[in-house]
Amino acid sequence: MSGYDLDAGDAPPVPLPEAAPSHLARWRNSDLLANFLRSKVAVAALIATVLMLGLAFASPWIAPQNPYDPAQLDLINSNLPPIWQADGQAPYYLGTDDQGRDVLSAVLYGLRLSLIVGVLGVVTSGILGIALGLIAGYAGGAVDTLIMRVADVQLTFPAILIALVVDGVAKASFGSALDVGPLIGLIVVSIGLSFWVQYARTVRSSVMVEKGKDYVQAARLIGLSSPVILVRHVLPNVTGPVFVIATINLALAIITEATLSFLGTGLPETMPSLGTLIRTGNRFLFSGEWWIVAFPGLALAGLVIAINLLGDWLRDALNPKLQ
Amino acid sequence: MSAYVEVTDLRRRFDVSKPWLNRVIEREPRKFLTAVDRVDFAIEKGETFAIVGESGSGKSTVARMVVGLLPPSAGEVTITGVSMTDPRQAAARRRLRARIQMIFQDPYASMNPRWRVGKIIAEPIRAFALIQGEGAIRARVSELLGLVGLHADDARKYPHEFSGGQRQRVAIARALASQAEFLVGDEPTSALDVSVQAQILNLMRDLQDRLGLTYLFISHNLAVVRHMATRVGVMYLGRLVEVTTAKDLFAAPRHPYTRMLLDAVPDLAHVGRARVPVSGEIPNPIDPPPGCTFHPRCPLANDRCRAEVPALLDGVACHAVQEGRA
Amino acid sequence: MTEKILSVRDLTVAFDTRRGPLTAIDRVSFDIHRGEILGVVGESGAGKSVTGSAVIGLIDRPGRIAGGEIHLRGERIDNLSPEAMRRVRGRRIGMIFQDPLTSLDPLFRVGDQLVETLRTHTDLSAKAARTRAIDLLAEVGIPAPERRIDGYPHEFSGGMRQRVVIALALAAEPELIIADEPTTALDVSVQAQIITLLKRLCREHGTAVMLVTHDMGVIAEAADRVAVMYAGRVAEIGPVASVITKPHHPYAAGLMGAIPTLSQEADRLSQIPGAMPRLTAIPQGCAFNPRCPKVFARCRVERPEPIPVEASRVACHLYDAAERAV
Repeated sequence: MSGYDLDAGDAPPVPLPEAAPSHLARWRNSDLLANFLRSKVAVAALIATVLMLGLAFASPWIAPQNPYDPAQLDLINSNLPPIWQADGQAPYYLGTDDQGRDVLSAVLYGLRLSLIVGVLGVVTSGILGIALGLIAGYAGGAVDTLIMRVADVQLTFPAILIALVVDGVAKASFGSALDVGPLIGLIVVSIGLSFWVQYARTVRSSVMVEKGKDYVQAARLIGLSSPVILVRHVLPNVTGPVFVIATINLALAIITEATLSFLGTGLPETMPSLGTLIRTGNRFLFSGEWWIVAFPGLALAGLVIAINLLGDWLRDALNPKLQ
Repeated sequence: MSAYVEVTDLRRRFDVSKPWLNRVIEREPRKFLTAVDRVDFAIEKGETFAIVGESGSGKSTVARMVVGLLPPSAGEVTITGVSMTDPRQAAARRRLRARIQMIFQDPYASMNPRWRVGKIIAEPIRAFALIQGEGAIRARVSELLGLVGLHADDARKYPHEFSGGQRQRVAIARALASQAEFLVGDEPTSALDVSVQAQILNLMRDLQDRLGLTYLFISHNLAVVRHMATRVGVMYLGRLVEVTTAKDLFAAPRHPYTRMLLDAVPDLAHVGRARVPVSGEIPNPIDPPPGCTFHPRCPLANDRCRAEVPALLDGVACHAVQEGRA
Repeated sequence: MTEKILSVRDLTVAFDTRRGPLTAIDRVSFDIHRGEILGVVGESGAGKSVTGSAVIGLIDRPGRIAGGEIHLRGERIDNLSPEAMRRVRGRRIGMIFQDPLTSLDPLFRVGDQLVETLRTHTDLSAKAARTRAIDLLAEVGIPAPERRIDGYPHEFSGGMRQRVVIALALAAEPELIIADEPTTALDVSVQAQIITLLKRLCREHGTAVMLVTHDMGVIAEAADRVAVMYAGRVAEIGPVASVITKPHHPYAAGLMGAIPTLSQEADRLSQIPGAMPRLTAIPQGCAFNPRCPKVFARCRVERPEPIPVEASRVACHLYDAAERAV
C-alpha cells in the first residue's frame, strides 16, 4: 500500500466477499442458472437440443451408412419399411428410400447439414445486423436514417422471398451447376440478408441507451476513438438481447433453409438436408412409403421446437419486465 | 496573466425541432433550445469554482463544454491557454486531455459494468501510454486505490460489488489515473446518501490540498456548494446571473434569484421555520421570457427588465442592482 | 394528548428470496397523532419507504408483513383483506409519491380524476363533486381552478402536478397521509412551496402525516417529530428540534454532522466511516455497531431496545441506566 491512506472512509462495515469471484463462480451463483433449473421446459429443451446437436455431429461415426456415397447405396434395399414393420430389416431401423438410402443415416446427415447452414446463417445475419446496428445507433443522423430505412424496406419483403431472389440472381450469374460448397455459401448469404434487420434494430436501440451513459462519456473524455469505444465498451453491453434473437433466429434459419431446399433451390438430392429429404420423400407419401418423409419431418419439427422453447425461456429470463 | 480556465461568451443551442416530415406537414418552424447563453467566467489554478442552479439552468451543459464532450455553438473555452475548440491547436489539446477529467453524477452508470475496477482505473493510463509494463500499471492502480481510501485488492472486483460511495471513489481514482490536475464534478454527490456524501466531499477536499487540484463543481445543492467552493456562479435559464466569492454570495447575495434560492433551501437550521414561499416556477427554456428571464418571478422587475437582457457587470446581472433599486 | 391516528407496533417486513428471508423492517414502532407530521428519515436501504408501503398495505411479493400490528384509530389494518384495504386506501389513508406522474393518469383530465376519487369515497353528486374538486384545487394553490380543472396532467408543471396529487390525496378527507419523498423530484424553489402547502393543509384538516424522505432539510422544516431509521430499525425517535440539534443516538449524531448547512461553514464535514449494511449482512447486536465511534462489547451481541431519553426514544446501550451507572 502507498503512504497516501487518507482515511479508511468507505471500508465496508462487514467484510465483503474475500476474493473477487471468478466468472465461473458468478455464473454458478447467478439468478439465470437458478431460473433455468427451475424451468422444466427449458431444461428439457436444452437436453433435446444438445442431444440432436450431438447426434448430428457424430453422424459420420454412428450412422449405419454414408448417404452421400452412392457406392454404399444398393437398389436391392430400396423402399424398405421401418424395422418394426413386417418387411423391415436391420440395420435400416427407419427404413430406406427408393435409392436404397438408409433414412436414419439420411436424417442424421441432413440434421448436421441443416444445423451447419442454420448456424452459419445466424452468424452471418448477426454480424451484419450487429455491425449496422452499432453504426446506426452510435453515429445517428443521416447514417442512422439511411440504414434504418433500408431495414424498413427489407422488412416489407418476406425472408423467403429475399432468399429466393438472392438464390435466383446468383444462379443466373454463375449457372445452376454450382458445387455444394458455394451452394451452402449462397444459402447462408441468403439467410444472412433476410434476418439482419432484427439484430440491427435491437442493437441500435440498445446502443442509443448505452451511448448516453456516463461510462461512454468517460471513454470519450480520454480521447478514445469511436470504433474503439463501440467495440470495447458498447458492444459487450448490448449482447444480451442479441443472444435471444440469435437463438430464435436459429430455428427460423433452419426452417428457411428447409423451405429453400423443399422448393428445390436449396441443397441437391445428392447431398440432402432435412428440407431436401422432405421434398423427395413427399413424392412417396401417396404410394404408402410414409417413412421417407415422416422421419425427416419429425426431426426438423423436433429441432425447431426445442430451439424455440430455449429461445423463449432465454427471452423471458433476460427480460426483467416479465418477471 | 490569463487564468487556468477561461470561458468567454459560451453559448449552446440544441435543435429540438420535430423531424423534417412532421414539420412540413404541421407547418411548424424549427425550434431551438438555448441551454447556455453568453456565459463568461474564469477559474484560477487550485481553486474550486462552483456553478449552482436548478434544473434547466444549463449548468451541466457548461460542464460538458468545458471538458470538450460537447462543442459550443459559439464562444470559447481555453484551458492553460489552449483552446478546446480551435482545430489548429489539436495537438496541444491532445496533450492537455490527460490533465482534464470528469466525475459524473451517477456512480452506477459511469463505469463499464463488465470490467473489473482495476481495468477501469487503468484505462486512462493505457490510453495515454503513461506507464509501460503490466506490473507498473498494477502498482499505480493499487496506489490510486489507496489514495481514495480503498484497498488494493478491490482492483479485482466488479463495479456492482461496491456501494455508491465506493464507486464514486473508484471514479475519482480513475480521474486521477492520468495525473489530472483539473477535475469537473457534475453533481458528483447528489446520487449519494448524506453520510457518504460527506465522505466524498471530504475526500475531494483532501485530494485538492494534497495534489493542488483545480475543481469545477456543478451542483444544485447550495449547502454543498458553500462547503466546497471558493467562488460561485449562479445560473438561471442558461445565463450566469451572479458570480462572486463563496463568502460574499452566502453572506450578502445580490441578485434577486440568488436571494430567493438561499431563502428557499430547506436547511437544518430552519427547524419549524415559517417561510414566505417564493412564487412561480422555472419557465420553459424553449420559450423563455424576453428581457431578463427571471422577471416574471422577480419582485423588483420593471419595464426595462421585461425588455432588456441585463449584462453581467461587477459580478451581477440585474438591472435593479445596477440601478440601486435593490 | 391528542388523538392517536396511526399506531405501528413491532412491524416486521421480510422479503422471501432464493437464499432465505431477508428482514427489511425489523420491529419498528411509532405513533402519529392528529394533525402531526412525523418525518421518517434515513439513507437508502434504511427501510423508510418499505415502512410507508407496509402501512398502506402495498408490500409487493416476495415481500410480506412478517410480524407486528398496524392500527388506524384503534382499528387493526395490517390483516385486512386486499379488498377491505383498498377501501381504506384513498378513503382513510391518502398517498403522495415522489413522481406526481405515477399518481395521475395521463389520459384523463385532472378534474375527472378528482371527481372520480370524490365519488368513490363520498356520496357527493356529480355536480357537487365537481364544485368540491374546484375548491380543492383552489385550496392547494392552483390559479384559475375552474379553468385548470379541465386540463390534462401534462399541461401542468412539476410543482403544479404535485399540488394536484395533494388535492387528490386530500379529496376524501383521510385521517392519514403517507407522503413518500414528495419534494425530491422538484426544484429547490418549488420544494419550499410544496412543504409549506402540506404543512398548512395538515394543520387545517387535522390530518396526520407520515413524511418519508432522505432530506433532513425537508424534515427540519416540515416535521413535528422525526424517526431516524437505520438498517430497517428505528435508531431514534423524538421531537424534531431535539433530534436535529441534540441527537442522542451515535448514528443520528453522525448523520446530522455529515449534512453541510448554509448557516455555518465547516472545514471538514464529520463523517461516519463505512456504509449502511446490505440486508444480507446486517451485523449482530446493534446494526450500527461496526461504524459506531462509541461501540463497546455489549453492542456487538445484544440488540438495543428503544429507551426514553429526555423527550425522545433512543435504541442505544449508551443510554441504558445500567451502563450509565458504571
